[in-house]
Amino acid sequence: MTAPATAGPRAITGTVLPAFGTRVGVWTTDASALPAAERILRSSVAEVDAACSRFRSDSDLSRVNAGAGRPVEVSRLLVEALSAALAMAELTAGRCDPTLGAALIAAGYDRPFADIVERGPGPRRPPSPGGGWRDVRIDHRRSTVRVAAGVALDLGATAKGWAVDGALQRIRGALGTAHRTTGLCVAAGGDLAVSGPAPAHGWPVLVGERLDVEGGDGGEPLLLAGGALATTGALVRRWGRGPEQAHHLIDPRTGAPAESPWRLVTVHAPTCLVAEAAATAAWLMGERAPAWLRRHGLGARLVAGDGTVRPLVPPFPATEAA
Amino acid sequence: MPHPGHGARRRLVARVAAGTAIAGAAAVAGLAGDLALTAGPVSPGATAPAGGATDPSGAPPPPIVTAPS
Repeated sequence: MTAPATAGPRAITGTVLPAFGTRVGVWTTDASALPAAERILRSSVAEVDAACSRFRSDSDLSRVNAGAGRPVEVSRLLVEALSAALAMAELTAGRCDPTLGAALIAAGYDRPFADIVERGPGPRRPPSPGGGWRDVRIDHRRSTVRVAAGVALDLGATAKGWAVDGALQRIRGALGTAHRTTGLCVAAGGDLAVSGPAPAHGWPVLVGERLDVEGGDGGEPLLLAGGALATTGALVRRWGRGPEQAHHLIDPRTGAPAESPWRLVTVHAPTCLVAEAAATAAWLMGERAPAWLRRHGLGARLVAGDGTVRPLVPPFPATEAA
Repeated sequence: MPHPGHGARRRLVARVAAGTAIAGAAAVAGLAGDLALTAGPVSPGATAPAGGATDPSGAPPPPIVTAPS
C-alpha cells in the first residue's frame, strides 16, 4: 500500500468539478497529465451517473427499480457496479445494503439532496427494512438484473468509491508509460484513492466533517502514501427538524435512519470501494466497529459523538507527529 | 496583540490546506484546529491552473479532503 516517494509536494496540481450531487476531483504530481486526467474523470463520472443514479428516470438503476419483479436489461456498467455493491454487502454482513432505495424514499430522500436542501424532503412514510440484496439476480450473459417486487436499489453506499477506483484505473491506463512516475489522486464526495508514486511525504489529505473545510471543523491533516480513504458521518446529508429529522445512513434491519456513537468514521483500505463500504458499515455497527475493522485489516480513525478521536485502528495514515 | 508567530502559522496552515506543504508539519505545530480559518472552500467547477502550487500566479490546487458528503 506504500508507494515510492519520488515527487515533491510542490508538484501537486488538481481540479475539482461538480458531479454525483457532490464534488469530484483529480490531482497529479505532473501538471502535464492533468488535462487528460480531468477529461477521463468527467467521462467516467458521467457514465456512472447515467447507469447508477436513483434520481434519473432514464438510468439503468431506475429502470430496474421500475421493473422490480422481472429481469431488466441494463448496461454492463450497472452490472459491474451492482456486483461490486453486492460484494460489499457480503463483506459487511448486509450492513452496506444496496437495496435500501425504498427505505431512503420512506425517510424523505426521494429527490436529489440539493432539492431537499432547497425545497425540503419528500413525505415521511413507514420504514422499509432492507435485506433484499440476497435476492438480487444478475444474469451476466444477458446483462440483466432482477430485484424482488417492492425492492428498490440505491448504490449510494458504494457507487462513489467504485467510480473512484474505476476512474483511477482508466486514467492510469490512458496516461501510459510516459507517466509511469506520475502520482494520481481521484476523489468523489470525500472518498478518494491514490495511485503511483506519492509526493515526497505522501498526499496531504484533510480529514474533516465537511468537504468545504472552511465551513467545517477544519480537519486533521494526514499524509497518504497509498490506497484509499473514505469518511462517513450523518451530520451533512440530513434533513427535517425535531422528530422528523432524518439522514441517509439507514439501518437495514429497521429501514430507518440509524443512530451511532460515532460522529465520523474514516477508513483506510486498498480500494475506495472497500473504504467507502467499510466506513458505512463501521458507523452502523457502533462500538463493535474497531474490532470488526481490525479483523479485516482495515485502518480507521473514529471520532466519537463528543468530538474526541478514539480509537485509531492501525494501519492508518499518520501525521508526522504520530 | 497578535502573537509574533501567528503570521507564519497562518501561512503554513494555508499551504497545508492547499496541498503545497507537508501536512504533518502543521500537525507537529499543533495547527490542525486552525485550518478552518484559512483553508479555502472547494469551489465546484473551479480548476487550478496547470502547475498548481508551482504556478507563477501562486494559485494553489484545491485541497484534498476526505469528509462525509
